Amino acid sequence: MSSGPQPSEHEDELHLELHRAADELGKYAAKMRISDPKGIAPDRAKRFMDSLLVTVTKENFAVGADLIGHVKAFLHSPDGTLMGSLVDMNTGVQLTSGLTKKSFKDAEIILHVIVHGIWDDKVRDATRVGIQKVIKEYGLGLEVLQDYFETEKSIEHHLKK
Amino acid sequence: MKLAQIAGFLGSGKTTLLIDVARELVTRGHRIAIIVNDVGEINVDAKFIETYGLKAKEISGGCICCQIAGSFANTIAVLHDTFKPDIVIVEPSGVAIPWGLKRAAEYSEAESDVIIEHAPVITLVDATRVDLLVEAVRRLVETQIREADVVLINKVDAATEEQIEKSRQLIRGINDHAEIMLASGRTGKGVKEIADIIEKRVSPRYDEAVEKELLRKQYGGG
Repeated sequence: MSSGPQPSEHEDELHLELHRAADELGKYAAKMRISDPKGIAPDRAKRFMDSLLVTVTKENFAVGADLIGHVKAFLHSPDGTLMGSLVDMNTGVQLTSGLTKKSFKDAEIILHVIVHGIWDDKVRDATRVGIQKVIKEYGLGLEVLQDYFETEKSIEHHLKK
Repeated sequence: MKLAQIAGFLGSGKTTLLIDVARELVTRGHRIAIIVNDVGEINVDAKFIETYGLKAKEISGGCICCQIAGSFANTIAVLHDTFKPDIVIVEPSGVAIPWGLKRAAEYSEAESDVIIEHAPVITLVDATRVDLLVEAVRRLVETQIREADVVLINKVDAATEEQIEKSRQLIRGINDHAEIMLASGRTGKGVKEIADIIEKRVSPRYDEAVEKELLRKQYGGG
């Protein structure tokens, strides 16, 4: 076993300050379950994924975001997975599908929204509006299992001297 | 055990490249583990990586180079003692500082009989968005380029010659010693070359004096 510096040295104020200075992005993440007792066909799931990422991004831009960091989602169903990624509205959503040809009645989906120009509380609120719009449009059931945003980014950041 | 960092701004193609490089290294007979540090407690990337049959661990709760360095060091030690990879590829969050991450990784040596060797630090630059990124998040982009041994200009299949050249000039203006390469996740360009770099080359261990000098250049002061 080698003798290196100890983890306590990581309590490095300079480092933390650098991160705060450099991390200029607002973030929100949500883990959800979507469902439809009549079934969700793979093509519909792909259209939903595309629409979800585009809509939440537009909602964030409508409230002040000026650059996409990364907007992405991972859908996990009993019949495979689907990854969606959006970094540029001109390029559009990139989908990587591991779905089979079968329909599924429910799936878990993890959504990450990271944008520049607004802080976490605004990202959370705008993203929730976007999610509800797309869920309604596609007639799906929705259960939010868990969500995450940094309180510091929404409140305390603005109090820092 | 060798540790390879693949850094770069959000959406620069880190996860796609990481999967391709990891699969290439597996075909060469290496035992690969991947550590990803994503937003909060809800991770997308680790789950996506696992769909390719790769071993992925997610670490949450902050940045692995400082705020949760202890968890990162512990994860490396546990991986070494249980899964026994010969290469660990790390995808840090978009704000990790590469030299800080080296230091955090070396802390694992106090928790296990592992000896850490570093592969060259690889930073990805998205050629298609270089103008936007420099305008909006210049400090972050500069930090990641300044501390890289190799900078990959990525998405060259979708970028114009002008964007590629602009990326090259940006990199050279920030880091005059980094090796510059072109890559594309869509076409696979650069994957074998990056696998070679990770497999065959090493980067220096953490040195406090070097980190302080890099921070001074980036942020000024003493």
